Amino acid sequence: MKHLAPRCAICGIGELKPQRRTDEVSTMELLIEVSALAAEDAGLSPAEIDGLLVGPQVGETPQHVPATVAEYFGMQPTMSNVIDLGGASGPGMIWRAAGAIAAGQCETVLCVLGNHRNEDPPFAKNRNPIREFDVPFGASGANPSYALLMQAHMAAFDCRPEDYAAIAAGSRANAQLNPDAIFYGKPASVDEVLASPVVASPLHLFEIVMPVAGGDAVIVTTAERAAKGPHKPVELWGAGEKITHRAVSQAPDLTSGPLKPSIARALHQAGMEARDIDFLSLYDCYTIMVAATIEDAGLCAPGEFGDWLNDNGGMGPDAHQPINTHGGQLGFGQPDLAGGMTHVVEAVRQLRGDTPNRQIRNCMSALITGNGATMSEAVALVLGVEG
Amino acid sequence: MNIEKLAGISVPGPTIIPLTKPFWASAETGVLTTQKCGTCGTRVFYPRGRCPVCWSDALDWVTVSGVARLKSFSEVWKPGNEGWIPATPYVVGLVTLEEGPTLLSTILCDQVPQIGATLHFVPFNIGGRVLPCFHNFTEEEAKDMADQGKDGWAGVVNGKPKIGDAIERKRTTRMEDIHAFTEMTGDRNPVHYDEALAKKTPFGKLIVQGGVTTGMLNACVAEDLPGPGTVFLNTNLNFLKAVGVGEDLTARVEIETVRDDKPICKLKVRIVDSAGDPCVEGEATTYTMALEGL
Ligand SMILES: [Zn+2]
Repeated sequence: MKHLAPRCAICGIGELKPQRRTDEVSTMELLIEVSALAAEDAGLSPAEIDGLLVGPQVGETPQHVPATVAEYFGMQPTMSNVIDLGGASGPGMIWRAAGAIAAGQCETVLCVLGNHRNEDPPFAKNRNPIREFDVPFGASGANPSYALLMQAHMAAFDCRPEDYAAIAAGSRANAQLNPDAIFYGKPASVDEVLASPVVASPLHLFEIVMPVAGGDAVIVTTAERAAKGPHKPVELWGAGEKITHRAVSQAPDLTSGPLKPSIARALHQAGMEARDIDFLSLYDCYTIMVAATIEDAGLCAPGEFGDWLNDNGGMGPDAHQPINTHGGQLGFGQPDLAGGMTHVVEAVRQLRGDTPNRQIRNCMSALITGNGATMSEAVALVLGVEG
Repeated sequence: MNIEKLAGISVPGPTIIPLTKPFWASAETGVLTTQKCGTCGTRVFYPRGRCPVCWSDALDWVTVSGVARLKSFSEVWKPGNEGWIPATPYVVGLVTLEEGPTLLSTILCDQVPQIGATLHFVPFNIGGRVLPCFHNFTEEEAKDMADQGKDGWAGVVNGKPKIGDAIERKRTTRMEDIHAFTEMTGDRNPVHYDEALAKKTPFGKLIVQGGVTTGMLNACVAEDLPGPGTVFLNTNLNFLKAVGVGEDLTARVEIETVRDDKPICKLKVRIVDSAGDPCVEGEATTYTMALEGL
């Protein structure tokens, strides 16, 4: 008999004895307890698990749930997600795990759900490790984390503030070609970027994205159906994903992130080298993010992004490998989580070949990166069109 | 950086749970700790339910030296939380303990530090809570700093108590106590007045109102320890045995913890009868106002 579902098997199970009440335990304590039981049952060590599917953790950890759980567990999964399907979440995890394994993104997926019954209702205040161990010392929000990453990068490789500022200036320059960009009509030179107020040293205001309202959507379908549509189909050629941590204090490396293996996997799946990609659509919440991504993609040695950008001829549509032609989020604005999708949408426009004002000549392939939390959640895609 | 502003800012404190409490409680007293895995030897920070390397639950608390290296830092001019604005610019840093783990903390310094600088742990008052911070001052400067602004007991009549300090007060209950308490509160419960009825209850006798008994604790903290100016912030009492009229009671309070930054104590409290049986047992938190110089 032929089965249509991806082939997979369940090799371990764990379960906690139900309790009517719990006393100030964190959800994380319960999740790792039951996961350890399942790993023991499967005869697996934690290091042999490379996929993670978890449920939402209302209140306790509002965002970045897989990274928060993975960090607590000491895992660095190459596939992870929150499955938010109420009572169907458990079964929903099982087929997604199989799908992810069939897609070649991981081998062994931990699917885990759990809840406490503390006196405080689960809708009580945010109380994950960052809230407990970072916020009380004055490190609220993303700015201090990226400032710490940038300071470490600058010190490790003796990079100059101008090198990072050039990324903000290049993004603003690209935004002048996109009337939708929030900074359309508002270019900024390297000097102007460096003259903008320091928010958290060494980050200047213009090196940080501007939050905006917005939205982005993408529809994925089969190659056959896409071929019948009105546009040239843009194909997925490769993908890679990795989570290494959640809090910046737990980062295994401050100057290189999980995009490095993610990009390597995506390029490998696409059968390409980074230097052969026609368009770089790189996640840019801060200037340091673009710098680190250029280096993690292997386009230059660590610390040499400044020289590489110069040799590349900047970031515009006429550059050797154009970067973030829509202005990037630094020039376009960051519509919250949709900000990451703007890099996909711009890549599709460029690959279709009909981008007004800023079309790259002969654009056949694009590398898209997404980044979350403190340079800790990474996804890379290679999209392309057949010549 | 505005170190002297840190004590007075109003900012969110740590969201402590039983699992993480040993870290914070010990840091507050000047001892920095991390967990250590008894199975694989990993030093674990932040505290977890299981070791993040081998998922063993054999985690012990161990003391670390408090000597660390600055891995990275940022001088924050526009904080994410508004409460920090009075202290700007302040420095946050990633601090790698010589034992291995890295943590994020507030860095106490006169000038912006260098990556790689050696830092030392110091418990420091941020927003009224003593938190584990790190500094790059000399030993002498650090000592001044630790003393500075931290004496929450200045001006308190009896001074700062020590952990383990204890006192007792004795008193014999009287029928007049019951009348006085009724006068005060309107509590005219028949178990305090109707001897025939009271004899048929599980008490077997007339008993005094609970407030008559626990009132001895008010006298203890206000008269003796911590002394004049003291009020209760919280009491948590278990009434274990009823107290009759003509009973010889002994009330005892003992200091369990004392805060440095504020005149706040936690006390163990206990009242026993002439048979030595505990009638009331529990805990109390007190605040002692500075009355000197008023
Ligand atoms: Zn271990």
